[in-house]
Amino acid sequence: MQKLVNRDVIGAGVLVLFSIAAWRQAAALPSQAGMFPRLIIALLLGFSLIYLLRSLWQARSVAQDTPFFSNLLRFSLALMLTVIYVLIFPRIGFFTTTFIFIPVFAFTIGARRMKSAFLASAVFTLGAWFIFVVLLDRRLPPEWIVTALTGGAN
Amino acid sequence: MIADILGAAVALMAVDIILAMVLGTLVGIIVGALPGLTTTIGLAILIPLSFGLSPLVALGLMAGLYNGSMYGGAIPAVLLNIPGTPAAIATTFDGHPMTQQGNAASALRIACVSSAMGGFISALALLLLAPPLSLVTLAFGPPEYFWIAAFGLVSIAVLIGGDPIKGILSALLGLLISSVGMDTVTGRNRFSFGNLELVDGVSIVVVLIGLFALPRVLQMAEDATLTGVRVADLKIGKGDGKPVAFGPLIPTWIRSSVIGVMVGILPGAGGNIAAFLSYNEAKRSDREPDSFGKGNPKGVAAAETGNSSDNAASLIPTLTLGVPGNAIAALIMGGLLVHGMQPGPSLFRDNGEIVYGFVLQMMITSVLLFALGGMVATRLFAQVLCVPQVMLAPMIVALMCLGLYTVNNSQFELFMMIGFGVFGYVLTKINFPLPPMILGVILGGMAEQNLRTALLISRGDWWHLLASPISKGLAALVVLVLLIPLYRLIRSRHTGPAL
Repeated sequence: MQKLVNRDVIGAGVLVLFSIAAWRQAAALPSQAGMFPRLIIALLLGFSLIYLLRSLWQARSVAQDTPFFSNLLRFSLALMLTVIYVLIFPRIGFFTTTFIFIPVFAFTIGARRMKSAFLASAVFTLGAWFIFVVLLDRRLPPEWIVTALTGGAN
Repeated sequence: MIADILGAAVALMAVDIILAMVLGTLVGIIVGALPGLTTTIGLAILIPLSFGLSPLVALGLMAGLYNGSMYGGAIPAVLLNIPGTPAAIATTFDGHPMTQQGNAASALRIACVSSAMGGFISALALLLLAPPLSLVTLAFGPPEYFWIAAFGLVSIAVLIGGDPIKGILSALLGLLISSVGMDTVTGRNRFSFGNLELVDGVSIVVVLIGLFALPRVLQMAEDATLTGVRVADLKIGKGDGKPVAFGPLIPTWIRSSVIGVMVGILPGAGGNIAAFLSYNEAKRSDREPDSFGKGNPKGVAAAETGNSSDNAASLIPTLTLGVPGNAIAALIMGGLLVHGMQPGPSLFRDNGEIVYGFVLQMMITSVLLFALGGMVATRLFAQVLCVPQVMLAPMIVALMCLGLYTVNNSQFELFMMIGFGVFGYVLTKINFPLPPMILGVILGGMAEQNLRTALLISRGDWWHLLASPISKGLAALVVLVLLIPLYRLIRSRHTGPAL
């Protein structure tokens, strides 16, 4: 059986649905504030439909898609670690979190030379601290470990 | 104008600005040398990191990174036959054969000098052409500005990438993102869903980092390249440090610079196109065209001059009209916006000293390549290739988060950046070009504001948008660009597929 659904058909379908949902949101806006968004959404819907029709038309002749993810597990792990990093660094401090994050990320996606990973992480973290704190005087979240050790004198 | 240039020249003598240019060029060479990192990724990470610096220090870093990365891309192209950036693809044609013949040092020296030449001539063109062009645009009113924004968007959407429909959809998504937040005229919130963090709209920096840097990190994680290049593979050679005869390369430099500048001004084209055209022209006009592809130094010179002479020239429409012609120019425009400057006709009038300072920085950082791209430095930069991507990926994530967090101290923006990153990853997988979306975000405000002002002036008469001859001309250009895909389709039906 010939394949009628490929990633273009799915992408176009999502865009059509998104355009309809966005139109419903924009319809509630007053005429002046909503004029430009409605114009854009109407064009978006029109071109999404063209894209959908074209994708359906070409679906029979297009060669089999290459896999969407070249490695779904590593993709998911990398994304999950990035989310965790973003969640915790404003609480624990940028430098502490980063020092741990770099080797953990590298190990998770396959690196095994942990000694050099921690060394590279230390050099990177120290460099970032020197440039952004010492030279540029950037305001970053307080380091939890420093606060705990100094009793809040960070 | 002269007073502004002199004022800028004096301002550039400050130690922190000189250091910024040197540092930017060094970082640029490293970014360019690392396959997988491109100028756009480098700039996307740099812009938020430069937030809070004085404009000329930040712009010095950007100018250095831009020019440095164009040469940096030549290092792996020559040594390993792997272009560090897309613009260095044509450099591999003769650069790597020179390495195989034991002339890597000569090839790198030619690449360095040619990059510097191209960059300098391009900056000179920017200095000479941008100010008069910006004066012409002072005669523009809201309808003309609307059409300028439409022209910029349509050209990038249609001309970048192979699929005009996807390009246009990408631009429309960018325009929709630009309309998020409080409407400046009515004060009504649009698409903010009651979230106070969205009232000011979506920050351009969030979109830039999310779309350009995070998808690359996720790709690196999937590929998980555990080792960098082996030192033994970097055969720069010890005995080939003989002087290079630059005299025969002068005609190639001139020809390629002219091509690069012209390509740079055109919307939708980039350094890779300039390099290919320059290379082809050098080959076509040479007495021995068959020697190209077999280690002809003129091939390296043409490719490197071509891709570097596109640099500053691509900023001519960006600085004068506020319409970037390619992704890198869009990023530079984002950088100017972050530092409180609105590219467009008033830029030279309101921020003359800073904008001329930036133009001079483009020139100076080109000259810096002579000093920083020497053989000892090149050997050091080549060592960067030994860094495995599994280590590079988390470092990029850390830099992205650090830069973005220090702009507004907002965790919400970090999550939004991740959202845009995943969105960009998905779009890349279905072959959507991302530069039109960035351009949509940047130009959305300009397009909407001028459309509404024009309609307000004409009391809702849409024909007012075509009232002046300039508006008609610009509207005709928009239609013309939209017809290009149709023309290509008809031509391909007549001549058959290219392959």
